[in-house]
Amino acid sequence: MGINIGVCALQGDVSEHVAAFKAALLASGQEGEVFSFRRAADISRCDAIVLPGGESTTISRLLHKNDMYGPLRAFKGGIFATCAGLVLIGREIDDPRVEPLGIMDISVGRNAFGRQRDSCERSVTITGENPPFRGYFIRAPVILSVGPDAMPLCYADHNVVGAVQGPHMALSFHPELGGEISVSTCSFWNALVHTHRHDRQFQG
Amino acid sequence: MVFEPVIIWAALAADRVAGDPPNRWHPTAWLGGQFIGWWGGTPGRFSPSAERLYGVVCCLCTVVIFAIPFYLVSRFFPPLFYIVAGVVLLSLTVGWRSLEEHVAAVEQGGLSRGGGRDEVQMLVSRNTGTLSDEEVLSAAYESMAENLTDAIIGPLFWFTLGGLPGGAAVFRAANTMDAMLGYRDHRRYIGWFPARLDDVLCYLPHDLLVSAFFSGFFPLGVPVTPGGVCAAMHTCGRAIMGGYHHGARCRWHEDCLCKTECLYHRRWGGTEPPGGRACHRLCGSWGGDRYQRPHLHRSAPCGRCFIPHLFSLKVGLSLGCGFVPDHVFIAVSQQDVKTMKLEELRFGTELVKRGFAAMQKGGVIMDVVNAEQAMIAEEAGAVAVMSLERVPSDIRKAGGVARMADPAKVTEIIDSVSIPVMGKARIGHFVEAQVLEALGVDMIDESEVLTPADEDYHIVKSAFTVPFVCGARNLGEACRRINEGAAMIRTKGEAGTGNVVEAVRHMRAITSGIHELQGMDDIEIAARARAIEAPFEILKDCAVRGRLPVVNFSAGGIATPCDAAMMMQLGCDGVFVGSGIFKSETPAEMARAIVEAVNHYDDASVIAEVSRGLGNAMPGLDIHTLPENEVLRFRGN
Repeated sequence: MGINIGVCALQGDVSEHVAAFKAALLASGQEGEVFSFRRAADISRCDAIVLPGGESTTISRLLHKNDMYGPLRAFKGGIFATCAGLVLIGREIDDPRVEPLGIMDISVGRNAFGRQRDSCERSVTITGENPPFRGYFIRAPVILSVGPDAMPLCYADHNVVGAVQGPHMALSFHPELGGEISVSTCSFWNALVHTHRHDRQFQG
Repeated sequence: MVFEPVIIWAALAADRVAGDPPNRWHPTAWLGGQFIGWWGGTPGRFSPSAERLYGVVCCLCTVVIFAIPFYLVSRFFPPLFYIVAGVVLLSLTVGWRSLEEHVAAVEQGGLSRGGGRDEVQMLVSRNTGTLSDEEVLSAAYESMAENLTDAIIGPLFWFTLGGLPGGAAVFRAANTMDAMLGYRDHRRYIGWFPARLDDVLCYLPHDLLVSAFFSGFFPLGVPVTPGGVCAAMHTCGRAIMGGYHHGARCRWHEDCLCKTECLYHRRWGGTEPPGGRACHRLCGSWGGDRYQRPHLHRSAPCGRCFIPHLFSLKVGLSLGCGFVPDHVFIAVSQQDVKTMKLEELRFGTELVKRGFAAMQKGGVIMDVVNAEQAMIAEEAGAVAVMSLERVPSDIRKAGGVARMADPAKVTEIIDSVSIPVMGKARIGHFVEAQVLEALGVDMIDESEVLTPADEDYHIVKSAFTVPFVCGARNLGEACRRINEGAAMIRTKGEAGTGNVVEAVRHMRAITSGIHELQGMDDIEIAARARAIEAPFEILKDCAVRGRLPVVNFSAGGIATPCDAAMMMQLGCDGVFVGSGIFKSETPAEMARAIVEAVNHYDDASVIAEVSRGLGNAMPGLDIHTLPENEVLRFRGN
C-alpha cells in the first residue's frame, strides 16, 4: 500500500519538501504520493504530514485561520517538522506569539542562534555511529529540553537540533535544501512512519 | 558517639514536625542556585568539557561550603549544644515531611484532571501536562520511593558512617546538586559530575533499602494478591530491567516499593500491579530525561516478560546492580562528544541566503515605517516586514532624495517583532547596505524606490553575509542581479501607484523569457544570453528548472487581495505590499485579507470572502501621466 505524504502548504518552502520526499520515495523504492495541501479537510487524506520550514509566527496564525490546530493534534500518522515546523510541533515555546501544537514532548527556543546574519551551515551529528554531516540552519530554533516521551536525535555543537517521538521527527535545520543528508533523512522518516503504521495495523 | 541515636531520632522528629524551609531559604538550594546563576544556564556558550569541569567545580564547592558549618558544630560545640545544633542541622538534611506533603497533595488532587500535575512536576522535575491521572499518581508513588533514599535513608546512613560534616552534609549537598543539574537536557554536561557523585553516594543506602525491602516484600506481597509471587517477581525483574536500560544504578528499588504500595492498597482496583508491556519499549529507548530515572510506567500487565526478568534479576544482582549499563551509557555520551567536534561554521553561503528567501515563500512582506505598523503586520500574518522611512507613495509626494531609513527606526522595528525585518538600501550604495547588515536586518532590498546612488553599478551582493532581494523587469535584469549575488528577485512594478499593471508586465516578461529558453539548445541559449545581457550559466539553470533559480516575489502596485492573488496565479512565490496596506482605509483588515488571499490564491470564493467591506484601497496614480523622472522602474539596469 502506498503512503500519502501531505506537505502543509500554508507558507514556507513547500516545493523543496515535496521534491525531497519524492526523491526519498524514489530512492527507497517505496510506493507513495507526495502532495501539498492547504485545507483542514485534506488532513484525512494523509498517512503522514510534513510541516515545512517558513515563518513560525505566520504559519501559526494561518493554522488558526484555517482551523487546522484541532485536526493536526488529532492526526494519527507521523509528522515531519522542519525549522518552523519544529517550533510548532513542540509542547512549549519560549515565545507567546506562537501557539504550540503539543504533539512532541520537547520545548523549543525560537531563533536560538540569532538573526539571519548568524544563520550558517554547521556540522550536525546523529546519535550513534554516524559521521557528522552539514546542516543548514536558517534563523533556526533549538530544542531546549527533551521530555521523557521524545528522544534527542541530532546535535549541533551541544545543542539538541533534532528529535524523534514515535512516528514523529523534528529537525531545526533544513535537510530539504539539499546536501548528502536530504534523501537519507527523508527516507529515515518514511521508514519510521511505515513501522508505526504497521504497528498500528498489527495491534488492531 | 553515644549522642548519635538521640540526634537521629530527634532530627527525624523535628523534620516531621517542622518540615523543610522553603526553597529560597534552603541553604543548599540557594548555594547551587548561585552557581547556576553565574553559569547563566545558556546552552552552548562553553564547550562540553568546560561545562563538565564547571559542573565538577561548582558541585565540589557547594559540598564544601555547605559542610563547613556542620564541621564547626561537630568540632567545637560542647556536648549539650552539639545535640541541639546537631538535631537542627541533621533535620535540614532529611526531608521526610516535605516528601510526604508532596505526595499527599498529589494523591488528593491527582484524581481530578488537572490537579496534582504541578506537584508531581515539582517532585520529578519534568513536564506532566500530558499524563493521565493514573500516570500522575504512579509518578508520585515512584518519586516517593525514589526520594525515600534521597531524603531519609541516605542522610541517616551517611550520618551514621561519617558523622555530621563528612556524612550527612556531603550527601545532602551532592544530592541537591544532582536534583538541580542532573538532567539530560541542556544541563547534560554541567550535570554530569553531580549525577555521578549522587549515584556513588546513593549506592550503599540503596542496597540497604533494597535488602530491607526484599525481606519485607514477600511476606507482604504474597497474601495480598492471588498469584502474588509471580506478580512480585515480575515487578522486581521489570524494575531491574528498567534500571538496566536507563543507566539507573540501583534505582530499581523505587519501582518495587511503589508496586508494593499498589498491591497493598489495591489502588488500581485490580490484582495486578501497574507496569508491564511498556517495558519492551522502555528497554529499547533512552528517552528518560534524567540520568537515573526510568520512564513513567504505563499500566498493562505482561506475562511474557516474566522469564527474561527472572534471568535479568539474577544477572543484575551478580553484576552488582547495573554496573554494565551505566558504563555503556557513559561510553555512548562520550562518543557523542567525540564526534561533535565542530567543523568550521559557514556563514552567508549561497545556500543559506537562498534558503532564507525560500522560507518566505507563500508569504506577504509588508512595508512598515514604525514599530506599531510592524506589529499590525505581524499580527495580520505577514511573513516579514520591510522597514523604511516612508512608504513609496509618500516618497513620491515628498520628492527630493530618498535614502535608507534612520537606524533608530530600523532597530525599533527589529525589536518589536519576531518575524524577519528587511531594510532598503539605495541602488549601488554599499555602505548603506553595510550599515543595514550591522543593524541586524535579515535581508536587504537594493531598491529602485530609493534614489539610486550609482547609475552604473549595483552592490556586489555576494560579499555580504545577509541575503539581498533586488527588483527586475525582465529575465535579463533578474539574471544579472542573481549573478551579483541576489538571493531573491522581485518584479519591480511601479511602486507607490496602486496600479498593478507594471507588476503584471514584469512578471509575464520573466515567465515568458524562461518559457522561451526551455525550447532552446545550448548555442541558442548562449545567443540569448548575449542579447539580454545575462550570464549563460544562470540562463541555462533557469531553462533546466523552468523557473528562476531563486525565489521570485511580486511587487510594485499591489493594492488589493485580488491583485495579490492574481500575481500568485501568474506564478510568483509571494508578494511585497508597499503602500497598499497602510495607505488603505482599514490597514489591519487589508493586511489580513491580502495574507488570506495569497494563502488561498487559487480559491476565488475565499478571495471574495476576504475582500468584503475593506473600504477604499489606497488612492491610485495613473502611470501614463507620471513625469519621466518620477518613473521608478527605469532606475537600475
